[in-house]
Amino acid sequence: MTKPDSRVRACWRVRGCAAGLCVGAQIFLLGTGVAMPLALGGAWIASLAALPMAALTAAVCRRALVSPRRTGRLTAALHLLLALTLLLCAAFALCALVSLAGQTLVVQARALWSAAAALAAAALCALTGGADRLCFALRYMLPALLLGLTALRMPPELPAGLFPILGAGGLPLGVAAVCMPGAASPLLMLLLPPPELALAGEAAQRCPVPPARFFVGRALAGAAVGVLLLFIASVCTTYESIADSSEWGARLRIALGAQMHGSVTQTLLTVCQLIAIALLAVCMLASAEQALLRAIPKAKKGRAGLAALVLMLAACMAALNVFGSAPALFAAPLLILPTALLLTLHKRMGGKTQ
Amino acid sequence: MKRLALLALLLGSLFLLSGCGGGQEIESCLFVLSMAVDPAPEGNLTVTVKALSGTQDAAPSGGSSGGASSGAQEESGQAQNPQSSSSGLEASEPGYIVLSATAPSCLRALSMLSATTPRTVNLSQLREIVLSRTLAETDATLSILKEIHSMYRANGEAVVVVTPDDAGDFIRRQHAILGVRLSKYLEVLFEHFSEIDTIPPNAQLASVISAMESDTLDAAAVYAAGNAFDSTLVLGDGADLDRLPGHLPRTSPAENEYLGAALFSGPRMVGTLTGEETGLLCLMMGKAQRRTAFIGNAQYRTNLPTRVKRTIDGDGALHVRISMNLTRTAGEAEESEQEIAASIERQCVNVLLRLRAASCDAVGFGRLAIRRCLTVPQWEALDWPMLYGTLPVRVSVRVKVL
Repeated sequence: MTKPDSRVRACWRVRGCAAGLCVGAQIFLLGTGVAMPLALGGAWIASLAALPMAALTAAVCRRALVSPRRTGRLTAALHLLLALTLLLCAAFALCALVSLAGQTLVVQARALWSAAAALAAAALCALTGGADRLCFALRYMLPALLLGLTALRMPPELPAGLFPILGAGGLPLGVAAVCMPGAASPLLMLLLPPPELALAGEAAQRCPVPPARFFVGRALAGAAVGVLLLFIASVCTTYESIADSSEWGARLRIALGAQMHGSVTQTLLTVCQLIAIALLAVCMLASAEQALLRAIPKAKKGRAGLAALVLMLAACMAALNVFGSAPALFAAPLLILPTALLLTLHKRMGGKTQ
Repeated sequence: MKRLALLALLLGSLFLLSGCGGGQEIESCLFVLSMAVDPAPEGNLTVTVKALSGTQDAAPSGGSSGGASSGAQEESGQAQNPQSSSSGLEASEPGYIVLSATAPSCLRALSMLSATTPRTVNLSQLREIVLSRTLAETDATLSILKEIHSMYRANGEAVVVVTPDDAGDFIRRQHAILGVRLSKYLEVLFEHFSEIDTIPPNAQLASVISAMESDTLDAAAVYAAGNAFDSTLVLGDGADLDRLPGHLPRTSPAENEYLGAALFSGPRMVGTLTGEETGLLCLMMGKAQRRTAFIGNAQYRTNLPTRVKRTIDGDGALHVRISMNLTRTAGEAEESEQEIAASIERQCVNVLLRLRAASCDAVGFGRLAIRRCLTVPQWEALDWPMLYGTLPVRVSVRVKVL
């Protein structure tokens, strides 16, 4: 492999790892936020519905990448829709970050200040870039830490929360399963090539896109980690405790096994989970900016695009601070709609080209 | 320009960081080590707390009471204790202070304590919560414990104790007779009694609340009482610890005795177990830590782990299978392996029958029964609390003396 090829492949690997981490985090958040209140202990079964959607999304995104770049109003509109979808994913992740932090590490902080701090941190990270590379650097350590520390909670005997195995029953489980495919929406970032390629030369941009299994494998790996985390969280908690926790932050805390005065292990687990959620938020924000610049190239001047997105995020966070996390939990499963629309349109446009 | 914008954003975000602004001085909080809850007239609750005073001198302790109003009154020391000092207030041990408040709910009583004591009540160092038996036998127990745990962020490892005495007096007479710190004294006390299986496992606040809320397991708290050292009871032929606390023929600076279990069915206390029965409960739960046993005139030791298996048989019987290996370490063996096994079986069956009669599934057979149900509605339709009281019990013990 020539040097430009290896560097281009490295860029794609970084992109793929970031997408995998993001979809895993999204599955965990959607599972605790939506599937757990519905299906109780069967939330992990419902989250399996996200796996085929993740594979399909990754495959269609790859197909869209290999089609020649199109311009026009329709393409600009699609990129705007993509930017908006990714922005909503970022808002969802920031809401989860504030909820979990408010229940664990910064219990005494006001929610408004926590939200402002999270937004500022996400904006700074998106401004400087490099979130994808951080995901790549943590691609083994973070999932290993999360799974390992979470597995330490499992009792030596059969966990009490494993039964009843179908949780609240067939209908709630079905409804939860219908809500879970929306967790694949972070994979829409794969519709955009790595930002490093835009700065590289013509030779790099002409290098072939990796095969579909490259993206599908990474997406499924990340999704599987998310499902596993949700499984361990479900079985280590009785269905009564899940039903009793009305707040999303409380469910996240229960899922992590975090007590009021937790041990070092629990604190480390909480920090790892917060890092994963923060990476999801930053990657979504950065990808939203990239999509916005493709729709409106003039927004690149002075990072106006990022500023506009941050302002929109601030408005979302302010609204969530007033109304609580319920709107975010209601809207998150609906992200499947723009996701499906984008995939369908990109697939049709790619098919016409061939 | 880009660097200036970055710098401005960084400086702006500094103001959003909490830093050390939320730090608390130790002397700015009232760190409670023991808490007691008693019923008071007209549906009120009296909450008594024993906390660090931060001084070397014996602090005078007092109480404040109030009904629905926020007014607080100093109780007359002479009315409380006619033999108190001339100041009219009860003297507490050095370094600790005892306070109490009466209000319609536990939360309001704690709020009154915070308002009348110039410190914020902090339950993060709580070691025990003592409930009077009268209160524990009502449905209010779970809500009281949940209020303490979630609203005031109490230490989830604090042990729940039930006493037939006045719970406030129980913690007033509690002193660190060994060591210096009451907190460490209580920690080691509960650890030691757990190791000799005279108190139930999982009696911590978080575990008790979880069990009270669960349909598959019932809670068992520690049972304790004060001893007036006036008992002339002579130990009979039965096991030494086969009795309830409060009347053991002994003398000690520590009046409080922790022995046995308070059984709960849901949120309500429904019975007790003696110290010996609590040891058998620990054995059947698979959580026995005691390694020595006195059987007849011989002392035995279990060097290998005892295997315990709980099942629900095909005929619906609740079955506990115990397999233990004993090594005789002292005395002469008077009983054979089969006789020892039969004796343990009889005792375990008696304990299971007592639990069943009290509708208390402390062993956790519900956790086995729920495996047969696929969904929560199916499990709820089974009505396990009703079914549990009708099922036969069976214990099989295999003993091998090495």
